[in-house]
Amino acid sequence: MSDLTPPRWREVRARLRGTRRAKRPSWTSVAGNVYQTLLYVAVIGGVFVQALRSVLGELLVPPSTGTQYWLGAATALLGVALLLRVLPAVGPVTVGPAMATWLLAAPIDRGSFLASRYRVVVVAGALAGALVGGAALLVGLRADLAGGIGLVGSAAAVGALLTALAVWAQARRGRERVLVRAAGTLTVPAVAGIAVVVLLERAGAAPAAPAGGSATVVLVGVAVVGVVLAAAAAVLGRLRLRGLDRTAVTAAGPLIAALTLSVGFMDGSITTGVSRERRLRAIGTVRSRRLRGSRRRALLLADLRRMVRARPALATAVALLVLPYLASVAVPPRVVPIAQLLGATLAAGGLADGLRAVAGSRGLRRTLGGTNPELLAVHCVGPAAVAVVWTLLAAPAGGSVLSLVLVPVSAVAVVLRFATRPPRSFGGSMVDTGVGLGPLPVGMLVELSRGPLLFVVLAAVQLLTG
Amino acid sequence: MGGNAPKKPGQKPMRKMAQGVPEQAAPKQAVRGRAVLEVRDLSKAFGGQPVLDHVSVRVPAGGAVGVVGPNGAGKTTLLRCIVGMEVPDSGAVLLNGEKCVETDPRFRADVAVLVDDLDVFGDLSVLEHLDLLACAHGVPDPGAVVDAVLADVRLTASADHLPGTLSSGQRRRLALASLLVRPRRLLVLDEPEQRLDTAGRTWLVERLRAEKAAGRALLFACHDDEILNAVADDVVRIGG
Repeated sequence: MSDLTPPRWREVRARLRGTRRAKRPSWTSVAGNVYQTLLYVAVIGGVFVQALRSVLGELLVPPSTGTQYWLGAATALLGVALLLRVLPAVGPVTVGPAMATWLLAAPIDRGSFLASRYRVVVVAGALAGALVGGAALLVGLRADLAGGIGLVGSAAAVGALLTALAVWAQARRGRERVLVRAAGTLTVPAVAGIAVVVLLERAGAAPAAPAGGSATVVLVGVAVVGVVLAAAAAVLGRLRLRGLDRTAVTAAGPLIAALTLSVGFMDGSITTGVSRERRLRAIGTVRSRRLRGSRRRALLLADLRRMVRARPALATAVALLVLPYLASVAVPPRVVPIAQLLGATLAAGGLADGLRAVAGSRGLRRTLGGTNPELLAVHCVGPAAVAVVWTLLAAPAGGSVLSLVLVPVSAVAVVLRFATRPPRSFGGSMVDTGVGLGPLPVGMLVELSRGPLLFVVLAAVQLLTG
Repeated sequence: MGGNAPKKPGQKPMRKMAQGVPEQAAPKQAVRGRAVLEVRDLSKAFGGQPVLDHVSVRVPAGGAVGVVGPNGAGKTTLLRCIVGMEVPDSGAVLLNGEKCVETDPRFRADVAVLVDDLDVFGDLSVLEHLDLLACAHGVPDPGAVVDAVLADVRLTASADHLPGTLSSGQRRRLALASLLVRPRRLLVLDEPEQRLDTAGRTWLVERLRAEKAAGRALLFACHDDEILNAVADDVVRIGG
């Protein structure tokens, strides 16, 4: 063993910052850019929000106060479940590839090296929670001042607490499963709760909100307890940082890189692809079953097997059934078919991995033989069946017979259109808008609109036929 | 058989290459048989830079032609043009005397391709992939064929694995297995020896010889002289 004294992270960081500072643009130039961007975002965003309000103001039919309250509670539970799934997947304490190569391998104290990252993620968790709480108040959740502060405070505390909990899970393999199971356990009552509240509202027996100021008392109480728990968890999490090994802090790297690319290229499929690959690698082995029969039967059976194995997509398809029923109590009846179309498209699209694989790979099509239209048609059968069943289950939410017939057809058309989009070309023309947002990649936007654009057209048709 | 393709200005033109291949293992009459694949004067350039220049290749039934050349010479481009993954600038690719169209079901039924990495369905196991392929190509008794091929490529123990969990060598074996569970008249292979261990390379030689003996045509790019000597009836050199 070497008897050299390991360098302190503080000293290394100061050196690193010094090197970077020399290469950075001046703060006045950065501030100018930030000001310009914020100004344009505020102007364009303001126009957009006004337009949205004028449209939504006509479309939104606010449900009763009790329904709002209980829907808010169930949605909050769903949000917690979502965070329990997402936070471990993205780290949350993560080191980029360069840092991992150059610094993680050095004998620097791991705890102090990761401390600043840890602080950032916990504060980000608290801020995200507070934003969600604030947004709930902005969109119409009614509360007095104390209740509002309690809501925002408890949401921030929950955000910080969940982040610290995710760091606890990150410190040892296998703990992530605990969070995933907890997320699943919370999702079921949350979705069921939303469904029950919506059904009661539809039946004219809307549930009542807690009487008088008890809602405020509950919110303030939750906030106080939450802040104490979050602070304790944050301190405990900081102590755990020393135990985070290289695998733990670099595992989320590919997913974060994919997320960054997805944002940059406005293409969510990059992230879903990486996420899917991680899920399949975690599964590892399956119980193989023999395929029998004719070519088409074998292709159909294989697609069915893939759909059955896509459990998260199946669960999402079931959970999405809440969407049209929720719409039926929050928007005028003629808008409900759009919610049905959206739900059917997402449900069928989530279970169209086979179609996307065949449509996206010339190699697979060549290997499987037959013609391209035949292969695409066979792999459309599964998503089409999902769209039909889903629409039947969503039919009581509303819509005319014609709109209900159109929903699965439109959903499959959108899924097929999206699946068969040509490979991304990163060339193409750029148009400078002249409003400070930089040049817009028009070709890329046209490519990305394939699928979503058809959805917009078909949604307009639903609005007319609903 | 033969060809002519200077990759870069100043480089030697590609030519038919009998010299440099010490031994021709397969019977010569195979070379003179009916052509399964015929490439005539195929040219391809990228950004004005010629990669293939009037290349001609003829592969008869029961014959094997090796494509050799240094990295970047255009071997893979030639194979990609032949199987329709690239569109040649000029020239013709004929399969059984007819123009090759990659989307034609007859082409897909006759030609087994191993060029680039294997595309897979991420959520089907190794066994299910081979089963699907055998059924999709109408193989009678697909179960028996798949079991035999799995054993042949030493993937029986990994039959239930999803492709994402396979090592690069196992993935290569799956790719080779995908060629063997289906009917085929022509095999187009790009460096099939890649990522195979020593035993795997020995197996590959035997397997390719068996393919020839069964009357199938082979066109393969290869960097391994031992495999070339043992399998190829003729060699086409590109570049260098």
